[in-house]
Amino acid sequence: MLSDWAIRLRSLLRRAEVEHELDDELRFHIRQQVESYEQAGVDHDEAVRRARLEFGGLEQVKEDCRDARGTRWLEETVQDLRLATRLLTKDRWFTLAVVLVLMLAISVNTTVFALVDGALIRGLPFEHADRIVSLGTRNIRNPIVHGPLGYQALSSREYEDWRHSATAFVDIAGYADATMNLSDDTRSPERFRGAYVSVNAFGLLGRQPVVGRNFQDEDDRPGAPPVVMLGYRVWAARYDGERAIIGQTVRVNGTPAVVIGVMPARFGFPLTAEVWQPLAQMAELRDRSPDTRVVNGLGRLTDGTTIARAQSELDVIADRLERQFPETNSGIRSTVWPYGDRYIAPQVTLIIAALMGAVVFVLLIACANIANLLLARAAQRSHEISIRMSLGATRWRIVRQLLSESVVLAAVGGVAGYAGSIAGVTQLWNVLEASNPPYWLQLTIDGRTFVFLTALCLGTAVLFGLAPALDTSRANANDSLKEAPRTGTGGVRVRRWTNALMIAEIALTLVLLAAAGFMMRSFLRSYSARHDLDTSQLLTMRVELPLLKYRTAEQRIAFVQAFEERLARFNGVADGTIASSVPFAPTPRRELVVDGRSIANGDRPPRVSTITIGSRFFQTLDLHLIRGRAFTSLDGTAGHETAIVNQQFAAAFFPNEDPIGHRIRLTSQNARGGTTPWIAIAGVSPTIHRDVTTGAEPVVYLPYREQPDPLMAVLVRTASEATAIVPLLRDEVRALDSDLPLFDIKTLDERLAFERWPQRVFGTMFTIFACIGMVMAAIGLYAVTAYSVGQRTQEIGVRMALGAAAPQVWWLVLRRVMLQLAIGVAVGLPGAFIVGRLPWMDSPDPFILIFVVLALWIVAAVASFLPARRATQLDPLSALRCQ
Amino acid sequence: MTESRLDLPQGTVDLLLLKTLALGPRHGWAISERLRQISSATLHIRQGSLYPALHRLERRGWIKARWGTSDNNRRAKYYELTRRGRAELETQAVAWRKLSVAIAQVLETA
Repeated sequence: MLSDWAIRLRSLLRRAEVEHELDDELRFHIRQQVESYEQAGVDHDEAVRRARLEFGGLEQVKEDCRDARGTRWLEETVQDLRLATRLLTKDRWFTLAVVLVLMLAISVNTTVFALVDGALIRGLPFEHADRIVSLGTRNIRNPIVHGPLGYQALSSREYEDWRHSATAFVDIAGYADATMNLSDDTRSPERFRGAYVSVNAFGLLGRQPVVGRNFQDEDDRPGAPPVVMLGYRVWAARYDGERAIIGQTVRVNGTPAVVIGVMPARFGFPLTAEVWQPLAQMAELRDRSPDTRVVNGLGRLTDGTTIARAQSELDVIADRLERQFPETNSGIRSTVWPYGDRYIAPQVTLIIAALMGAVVFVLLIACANIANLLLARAAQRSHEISIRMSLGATRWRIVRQLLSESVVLAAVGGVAGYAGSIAGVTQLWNVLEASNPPYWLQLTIDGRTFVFLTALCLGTAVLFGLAPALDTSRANANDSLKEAPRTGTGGVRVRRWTNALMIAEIALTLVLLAAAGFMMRSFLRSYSARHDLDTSQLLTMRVELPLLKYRTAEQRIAFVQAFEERLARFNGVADGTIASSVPFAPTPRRELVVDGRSIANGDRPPRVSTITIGSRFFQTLDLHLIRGRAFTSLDGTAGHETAIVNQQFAAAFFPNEDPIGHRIRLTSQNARGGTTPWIAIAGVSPTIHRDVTTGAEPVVYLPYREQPDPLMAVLVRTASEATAIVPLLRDEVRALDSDLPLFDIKTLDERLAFERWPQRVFGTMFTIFACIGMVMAAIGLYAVTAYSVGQRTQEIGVRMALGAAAPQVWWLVLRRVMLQLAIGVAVGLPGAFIVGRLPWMDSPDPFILIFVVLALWIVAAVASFLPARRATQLDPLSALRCQ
Repeated sequence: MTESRLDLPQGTVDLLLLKTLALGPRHGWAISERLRQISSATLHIRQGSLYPALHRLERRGWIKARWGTSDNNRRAKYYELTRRGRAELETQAVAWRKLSVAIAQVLETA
């Protein structure tokens, strides 16, 4: 009703005017009445008296009119808030404790919510992102090759076929991650993350270049002149944001390409790419080998098409391709899934959800805590409240007054929490940024987060304020008046509430502590596993030989040979070598056949990790072969296929024999039915444990020339400061190939720290939350115990007067704390077992649980020590006299 | 306040006020006078209690107020029925008649 609100609003905003009008109106009435009496012959004084009498109390009528205007509630609210503020300022320590607890709870909640928002809610920055799907293949004959994500990319034949025959899609695009080395005559070469994309990819995502033109169909024809698209940051930083760069030629991975455009800032499809070329430029696609599956599919569904429908259409296509090309497509099935699922691993979703759960726990603990503090405080005020009720305040009025205090507390806590949130989000972002998140992941306190924060403040106010308010106000005015002066009994109801809240608080803290414990332990374990190898002063980096330039194996082998020779000559470098992967990194696995042993029918052949290494690998890592010999320059050439196995391999496959001289064969996923050569075992190396949880893995080391992959790690052990050697290394590489950058330069220690960032970041977060929870539990226990001692002063005095000794008084006070603790632990333990199942957590381990329970016990003892000691030091006489 | 005067049942003040205003705009005192006259002084309405009721009706949008000049040249607040108020008067009057007829029937027959 418009008039309703118009009137209310007017009476609020133009209060003086409205009051004035009211006064005029009523006075007019009385004057009229007086006049009418006077006209009837009554004398003036009597007329006034009668008029007043008939009208009733002027102030009362005014009050009723104000009521009728519906603004009273607001005036009262203002009054309530003013009173609340005054009371809270008076109770400075109470207020400080509550605001601190709230601030901690709200800032951790908002911080984690910003993460949830950025990673899970906000989603991908594309138009109708829900219609964008990933396309891939699965090999049902050989599921191993899919890796952890369970899919493979498409071959160029599949990609073209799907594009032309599938009708469920508006369009299908393809892309492949790549590294792009940009070089030109005036600037030093730089390496960027990049991607090969089909020319329609950006259009499919709804993004256009901000400068220059988009890719065109002509760019994707085989033999088309190479073009390159730059990311905004590359354009701004490397080319000073000059438009003149469009149309100029730069070298991409050593091949000249014309710059055609610049994509908008904050665009990094598919993840953090900054340089793009058409798929036609991708070396792996050049040979168009029908079973090289390197193109990731990306489709936009037509309106109204479900993923299931698209899937069934692609199934039909997959069947047809299987019949048409049995040698490459037998067992190949298609898969369609939402694009967003690709980059937020289920693990991450789960752990973020767990973090959110943890902070909600923290919030609940905070609320329980504040509710306890409020209850204790309300009990002290029950006398005051009884008086107010007996003077005619309604219960609702009292509840409102008490809730107003909660709202003021929540508002102050919210403002403090907002400041805390900004700090928390900044801190979390700094950590996450180091883990190379996808370009669309942003942590900000945006509108949604702000709404969340506000809802949180109001929610907590109701949550921690309502129960105490209802409880306190329920007190019958009479009872309370009689009861309050004697502090002996204390409210039974109040005590029941505080007990329940305290138990909940202890249980929640236990779960948080356990989660933190499990995660930190798995983190520490992964560190304790490195004694096999001295990781200090070991510098690692990577180099990638572009396939266009290093087309043949001989070219690549020649490069590695030349590089290793330069490393060996190097001054100040103790040793240097190359390998397919750095120590402790995941390695590709291949199926193993041992000469002379057959595999039972139906059994899968065992799988072993393979690492290809340069000639000085073991020297560089300072490992001494246990048996046999290192590789020579002959090893790996045709007819001299040799391998070195680690001790774990020897123990697993040759438990009672000397493996040296035995022959093995490794089959790879890509081998098309052909046979790989037999490899003779030439040596046995010590085992490098990857980490304790995965245990020791059998590893086969092969000489680089046996499998000359273009991407390799460079390992350098320096005698002095590790990073000082980098410029010299760069020069050596540039001397061999001026377009080739070294990248991903890190010490092995740094790399390990990076690999373990989930445990480190999430473990630290859990630990922080658990500590906050513990501090809160301590505050809560202290407050509750202190309150109960205060309530029972008289009782304790009586007991002491009757001969109770100090231990009995101690027991009197601590009994309740210990009981709460015991019940809380019993309730919390099952929860601890549940969180132990989360990823990156160590399995629930009794040692940690015992430690956690012990820690809680100590905190509880410390928190209740002071109040308990105060009880024992009571002077019986004064305690009895205490009213 | 003599015994012969009747207290009004809850909610009926609204109806009486609406009815009084049905003939045209009036200020508060005029309304109270009118009520006194037509009810032959049997109804006991404390004059002051009219005003909260008027303000409530105004808030509901059944009547609206404007400042005007009274017969004796004083500034007075005049109330008049709105269209919604007129409709409301119809509804309430019908309901009241039905109710009083029903109560009268019960009293006569039971």
